[in-house]
Amino acid sequence: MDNNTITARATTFFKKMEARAGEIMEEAKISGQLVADADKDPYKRSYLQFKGAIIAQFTSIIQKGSTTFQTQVMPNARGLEMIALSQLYNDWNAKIVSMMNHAFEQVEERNLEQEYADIMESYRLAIEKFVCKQCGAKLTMDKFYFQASYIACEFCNTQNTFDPGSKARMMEHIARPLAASRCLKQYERFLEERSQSGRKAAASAYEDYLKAMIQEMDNLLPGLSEQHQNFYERMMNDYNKLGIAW
Amino acid sequence: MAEKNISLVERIKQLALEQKREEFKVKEANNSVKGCPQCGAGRAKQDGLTNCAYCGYEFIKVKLTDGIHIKKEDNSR
Repeated sequence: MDNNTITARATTFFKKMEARAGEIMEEAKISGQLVADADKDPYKRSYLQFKGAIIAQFTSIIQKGSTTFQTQVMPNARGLEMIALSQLYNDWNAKIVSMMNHAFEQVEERNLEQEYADIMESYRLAIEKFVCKQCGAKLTMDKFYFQASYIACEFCNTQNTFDPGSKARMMEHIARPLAASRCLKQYERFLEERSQSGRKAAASAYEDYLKAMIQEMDNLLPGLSEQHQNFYERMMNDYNKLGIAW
Repeated sequence: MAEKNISLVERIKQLALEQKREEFKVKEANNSVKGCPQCGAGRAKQDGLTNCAYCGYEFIKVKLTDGIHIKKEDNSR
């Protein structure tokens, strides 16, 4: 078979697939935000379903490109053509993966600060009216209880079972992304350091970012400092040993 | 009227927004007191959480260890 035809055909094929992926990416960027805004579910299930389906489209394109490359392109390539075609495929693959990541980069899934403000306001209003069920005295709520807890009445010592409700319980789900969003400056400093000086040199900047994030998480979820510290150590370990910045 | 052709992404969006889901039941904050079902006595902090101080009724079978708010001192003696 004519090798120029193979190169030309492969180029045309990958360009068409790239154009298709590009269309999906552009439309997903706009629709993604619309779905996220319209989705009032606390777990954002509709948005995640949409995102999952779009990612499936991208992986399907990648899979098709990979299969075509392996079964129809390379077996028909000769000599130096194989090197050029491999490069073409690798560049195309990297572009599609990059498009897949960019499709949802700018989408604000939830307004975390607003959600946090709503949670704390609901909590504040709720605890104002709570009295001991035994003697009627005002219960002292000295901290934010994000799960059901026993509160002892300071007057009659009765154990009251306080359930903060669904909204306050959501705090555990949004604590980490909210803390991360509040430490954006440290994170960007780390990214800059890493791109300029490499992973190892940026370890100290990453550590600063993690410490700031963990401190925020401690403020948001009081009582979980030990767990947050374990989390911090795991993240540092993953970064130092595996080079992964979660 | 001719059916308007919608794009794949638009179809995915519509499906996601129209998907029926298990209703998320919002539970309001609330407060309650659990008295002993055996003798009716109240539950006080100094008596611990696991057993009734008056009749010994077992509220909680497991031995409590240190958690976020509950501590091992909350075991009834």
